[in-house]
Amino acid sequence: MTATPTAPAVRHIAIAGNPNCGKTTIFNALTGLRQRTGNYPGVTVEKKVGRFHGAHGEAFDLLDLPGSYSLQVRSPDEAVARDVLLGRREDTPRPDVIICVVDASNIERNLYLLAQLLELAIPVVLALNMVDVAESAGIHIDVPGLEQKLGVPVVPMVATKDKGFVELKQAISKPLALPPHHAAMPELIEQEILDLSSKLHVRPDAARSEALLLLTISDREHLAEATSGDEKVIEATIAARERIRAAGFDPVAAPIEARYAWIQGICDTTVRQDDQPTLSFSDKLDGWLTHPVWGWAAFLGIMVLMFVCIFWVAQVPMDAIDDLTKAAANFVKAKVPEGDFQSLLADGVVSGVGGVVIFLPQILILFFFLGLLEDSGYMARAAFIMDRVMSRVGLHGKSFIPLLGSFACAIPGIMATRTIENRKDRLVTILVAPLMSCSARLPVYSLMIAVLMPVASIWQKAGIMLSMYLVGLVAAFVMAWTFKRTLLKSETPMLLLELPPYRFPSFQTILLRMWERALIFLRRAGTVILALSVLLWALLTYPKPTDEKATPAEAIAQSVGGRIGHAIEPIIRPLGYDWKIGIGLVGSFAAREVFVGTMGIVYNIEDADEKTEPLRDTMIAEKHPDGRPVFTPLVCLGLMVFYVLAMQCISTVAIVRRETNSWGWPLFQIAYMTVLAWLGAFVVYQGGRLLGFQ
Amino acid sequence: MNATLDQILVIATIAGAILFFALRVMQKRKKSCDAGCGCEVAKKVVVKR
Repeated sequence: MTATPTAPAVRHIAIAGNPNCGKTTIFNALTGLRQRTGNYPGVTVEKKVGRFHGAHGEAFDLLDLPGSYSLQVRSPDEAVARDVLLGRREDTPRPDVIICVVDASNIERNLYLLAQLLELAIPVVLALNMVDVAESAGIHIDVPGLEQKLGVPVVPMVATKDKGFVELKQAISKPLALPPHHAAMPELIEQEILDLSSKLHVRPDAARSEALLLLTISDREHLAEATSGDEKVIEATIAARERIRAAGFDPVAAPIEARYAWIQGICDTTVRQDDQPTLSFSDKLDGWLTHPVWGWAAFLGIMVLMFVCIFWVAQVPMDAIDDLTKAAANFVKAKVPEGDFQSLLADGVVSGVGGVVIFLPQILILFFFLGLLEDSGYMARAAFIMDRVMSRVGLHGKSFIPLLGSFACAIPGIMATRTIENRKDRLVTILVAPLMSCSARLPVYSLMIAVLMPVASIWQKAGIMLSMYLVGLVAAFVMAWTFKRTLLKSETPMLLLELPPYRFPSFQTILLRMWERALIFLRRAGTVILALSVLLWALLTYPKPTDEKATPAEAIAQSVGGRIGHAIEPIIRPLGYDWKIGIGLVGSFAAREVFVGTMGIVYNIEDADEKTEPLRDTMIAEKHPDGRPVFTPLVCLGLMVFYVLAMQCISTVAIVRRETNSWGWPLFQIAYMTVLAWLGAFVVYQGGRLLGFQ
Repeated sequence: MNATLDQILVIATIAGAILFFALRVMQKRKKSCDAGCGCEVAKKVVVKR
């Protein structure tokens, strides 16, 4: 008999750690996967897996676990980390090795998670990250001493400067033993853990940790949930808790105290802190940026700068794209014989797609700034100063991070709500997140601002744009306040927010993110927007008028799209809109940026025989049958307010459906946002008219 | 352009756009979530206890 060589099984490694300890940076560096990294709490909420090769070329599957402070979970993403480590999930194997990333500048707090990981009976490698930050803060760590006390390999690292990776790979590639030490519990508790673990139907190596976690659960409802309703285990747990209490221990606090005492014992001999810690650059800067007055001034200043750049820097590339779009339309008209197909390509495809693509430079600049603010550590400060407002509406600053993320796109914003512990607070945040102005609204705002103020200065345009973002922000606060007092009543939570030290942003990361965003945007323009443009063109072209002498305007009015526009006109007339704007509103129901493309298609088909001129000029010249201009200042402002407040995004509906696991919440969200948008536009238009504006 | 060919090209393009959305919907239905995010699909995961 001959032995057939078999490939060695790939070992699974999980990378765990507190939020902001540099876990994702280490994951990226090891696997080379391109993935978002940020330094505000809870950026890692997805399961992320990558493969890398150890010091001897052996393959490892690396799993990036969501950041968590302990295995006593408070939020859904922490629950994922705990379940993977305990081998509870069928979709993810229990790791063979854990890389525990510890922020050296916050070593005592970070070691708490390590203390729990050492109890899991899985080999652990400690990646002691940010040793440079610790040194500059006057914290000196005796690495060999720490290694000896913990009984696991300790690798000092500076992940952002690529230091320590060779040593980390070497440590992982060595045969690793189970951790020999962990925090000792009081004898009675240890005995109860042993007794309870023998009654559990779980994998033997996780039994101790499972029993310890059960002992910290105080109410029967959560116990039933944690034990899948196993009455015997529930009764045994309750009895064990009673005995622990009778002996004078608190079943929840005692294990925590024991672990902290153990950590203290280790740190006393291995960590030395300089007597006079110097006020760091970050601390000095925070004195200004989190100041009750200057903090707000800085926040507003940064926002104004961002919007000025969006208009100012983007102008040249936008003109270039506009020229390209015109050239493409002329090319189609020159090469494709006259007929419906030519109109489909020139008025439908080129106008629809080109009308949206022209805003790519502005969107990229927005992402450049968001990346800069996130990478530098400013986002956490923004959340901190916002906490004062957020707590007034019943939420805490942590809810502001998903809201800030929603400035880019509501989808990652809504996904980031997984870090919010309280279910009701999470729902409130999900419900108001799409009110934040996402990048897809930028084209609509830009177009309407151009129609509203064709010759305004960049500062004026930026001012209007900023005010639209503020309208969204205020609406989000008002709605959150309303929901917290009606549908989703709960107490205002306390804010526990970590302010990471300021870092010089990595331009490579920011440029990479802009590149990825450009690809996503162009892919969307080339697929969804393209297909929608074709369908919208068809809706605005067919059925054709029976009268061959009908003008293009009459032809559109008779088309399916025109009839839809006419059908909804009574609803939108109080907002000052005509049926053509109605077509835009209906056409952009699935994706709000399609409004711009739809307007392009509507007015291009209508002006098919005229010379090509910018959409802005066509819209400015557009008149009602009685000669009044259609796009008056109040209509333009009202339309912008409508788009600030309306849902108009099918992808967001899908993600809310997924995150809330029901159709009820997304449908409620569409309904309340549409009503709010209508009311907002109504107040602007009718209120403005009452005040004598046009 | 021949009127028939013109109509064929238009119909084919529109049909392509409709097909694109139909395929997207079907693909989304098939796609299962393994992101471990606590979403509907993940809830079906049996918790080993």
